[in-house]
Amino acid sequence: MMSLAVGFALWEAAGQLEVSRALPPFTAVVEAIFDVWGREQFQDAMLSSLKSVAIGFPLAVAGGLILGLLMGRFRVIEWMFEIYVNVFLSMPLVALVPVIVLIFGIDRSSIIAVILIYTFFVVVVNTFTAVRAVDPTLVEMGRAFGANEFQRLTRIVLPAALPLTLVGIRIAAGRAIKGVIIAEQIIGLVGLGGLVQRYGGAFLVEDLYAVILFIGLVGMLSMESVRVGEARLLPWLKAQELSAT
Amino acid sequence: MIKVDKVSKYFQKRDGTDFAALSNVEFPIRDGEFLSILGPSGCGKTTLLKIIEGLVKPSEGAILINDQPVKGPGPDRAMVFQTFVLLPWADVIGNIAFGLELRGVGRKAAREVASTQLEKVGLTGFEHHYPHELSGGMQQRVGLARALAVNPEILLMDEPFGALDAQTRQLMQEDLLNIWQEEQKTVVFVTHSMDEAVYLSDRVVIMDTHPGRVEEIVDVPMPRPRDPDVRRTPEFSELTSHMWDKLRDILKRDQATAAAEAAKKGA
Amino acid sequence: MSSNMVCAAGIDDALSESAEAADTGSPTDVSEGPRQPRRVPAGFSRRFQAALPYLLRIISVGAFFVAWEIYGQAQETTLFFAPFSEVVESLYDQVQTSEFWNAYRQTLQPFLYGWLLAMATGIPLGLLIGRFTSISRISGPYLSFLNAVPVSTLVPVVVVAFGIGMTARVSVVFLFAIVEIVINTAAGVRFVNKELVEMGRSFGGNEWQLMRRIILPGSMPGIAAGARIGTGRAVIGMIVVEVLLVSVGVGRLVDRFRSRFQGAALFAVVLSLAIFGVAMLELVRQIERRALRWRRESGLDA
Repeated sequence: MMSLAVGFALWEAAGQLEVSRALPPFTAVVEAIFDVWGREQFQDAMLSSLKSVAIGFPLAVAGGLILGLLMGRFRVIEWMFEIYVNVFLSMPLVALVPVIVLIFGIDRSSIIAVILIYTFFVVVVNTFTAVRAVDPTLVEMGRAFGANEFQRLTRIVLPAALPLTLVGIRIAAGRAIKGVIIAEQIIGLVGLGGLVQRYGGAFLVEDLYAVILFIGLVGMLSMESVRVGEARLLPWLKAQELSAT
Repeated sequence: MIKVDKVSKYFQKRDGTDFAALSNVEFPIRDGEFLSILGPSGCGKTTLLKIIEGLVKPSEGAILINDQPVKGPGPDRAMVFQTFVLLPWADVIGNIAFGLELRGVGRKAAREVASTQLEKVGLTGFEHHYPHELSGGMQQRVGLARALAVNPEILLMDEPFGALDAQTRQLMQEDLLNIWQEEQKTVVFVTHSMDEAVYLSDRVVIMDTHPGRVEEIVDVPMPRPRDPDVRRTPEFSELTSHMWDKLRDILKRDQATAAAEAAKKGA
Repeated sequence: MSSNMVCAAGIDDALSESAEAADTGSPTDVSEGPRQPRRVPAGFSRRFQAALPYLLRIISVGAFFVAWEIYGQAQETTLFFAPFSEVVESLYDQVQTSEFWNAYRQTLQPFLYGWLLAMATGIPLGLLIGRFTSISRISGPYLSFLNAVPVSTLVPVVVVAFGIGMTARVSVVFLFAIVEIVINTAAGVRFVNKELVEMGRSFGGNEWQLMRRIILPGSMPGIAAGARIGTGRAVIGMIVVEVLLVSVGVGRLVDRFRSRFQGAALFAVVLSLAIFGVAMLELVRQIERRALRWRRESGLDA
């Protein structure tokens, strides 16, 4: 906390001394925050980005959960798809954005497509790992007590796989935000990403920082909220985690 | 001459109250003697050893070596750890030489000394093995060699054979005594095994627990060098029985106070 | 070697043998419980079972390319989408030109400098943060924020500060890579067995010696992970530079092909970027594996 205060003080000093054009005084940035966040232009952009994420993220997560579960459950499916998952996770996804824009055009569908590829594979691999990591003796115990396939899946495998799956969703939330922003930056016209490009291009540095700060806070908040969800859903894991940290 | 001079050590508990690991511990350590510190787990024996080594500062009192208070780890002391604590990425020679190199000795010279020590502890042929390739007993030999390599006057050993199986343990005890006879160092040896304490030592400090305190200091007048068969003599049994009686009293007392505290908390 | 080790080794071998026998091919599923060793029929059938995973992978990948090809051929024009064969053709043609390699050379420069700078500052910084809680606490909020915010949003800031020259490009790559390197290095430090540090202190080691001889080698897994992830991020940064900042090099090719709707050529360049990214990652992984050989042998990691 203290270090933030010191940081802000240094920022202010650097701004007043006009060290660089990229460093306006901290107070000016704070002013801009109040100004920009209330602007209609900003709110429109925010809603636009939100809409894209609201469509893309749940879709990607749902799809990722299903594929991850199937891959975890059936070796055949794992063998078929693991190459794609590995390739898409090791390659720089940014490179695909121009291709996507070419195919889908300069509108929301491109942005959603980008969100999908940024998010989907992360969810798949985490869900898959989670399902695979389930203690087989737990499942065997279920069979011993007469549970059928569906019961075993829903009452043993799913809860056991939940922690790691939620971690995947938490990471995916961060990725979704990165995806929507980079897509909007490249397309340049809509959403918060588009705003970043516009303010940057016009050298409206304080406004630019205001938008960046907002995006960063949204990122942190979304990851925190998934973490809270984790804690709520997994009280038994809390004690374990506490002793580990 | 080393003196543990009215040493106390307090730790802060989570609820803010102080917890006394050691309380007014005082006893002398004679040059060249083999002294064991015996007591049940958790009575601060390891803490005391670390205070003598200089890794931990006492809350009260001090360790006096030739009337000079100990301020930190020094060239006159070296430690052997219960969990061996070898560098996993270095081979045996590298591990033995490690203490020397930290003390500023050049690589070549350090390795030469390390070679000698390696032979002394019976690890010839294993110079370039890695810790994970060695058994527990051998790893501890490396730990011992490392401590001996820096030529300390005082050897501090923290339950060094605690992680080993019973047979290896006995062999290591005998080997340790052989090495000690040759090296003539002062050894402070922490253990919770009465057999081990009596077999190895000249004197045994029996420590109470919660808080750690000297309960009694027992002389072990048996002749040196100690034959392994000394373990079967009646004097040996007498001594160990006496110690077991003391330990049992300590343990029972400890249980009683723990129960009382738990009752207080629950109430 | 004591007999203990030999005995234990023998049992381990026996266990792993039976595990391998059970693992020949048949789809096993999680909800079946622990794998029972299956009685596998001998001969052709058994070899088929063993080959099944590879077959499926080849079929799957093949299907992807076939689908790509068919869909591409079905398009009326290659303005928006090109079939696989044409993409390969275009890539083959481009690779012959000096223009292609010049473009890469231009793009690789900021990548290399940015990456080196990030490693050179990130690792020491990570070591300090991991070792000293005070430094960790001070840098904590800044690192968290840098981690949460999409680094691409900082590109305009860099442009305002440094223009569009080499400094700016190197800075972007640097920013993309640095966070993961620092965080992973710091985690690697915390992962070092504290007893090792204590042992070092007991032999009179000073802070510098402890850092160099215990903490640094002990943190290697974390550092290696940071290097690996950081490299991936640096590649992303390099591409972001081209796409958002100034299109010299590869970015210019991308721009040109996109604006002229030369689908095949664009796909080809993107494909080359993807290959580059994956190749870099493989390279780093190989180095990582070699550097950490002692860990795997000691069974400390899987």
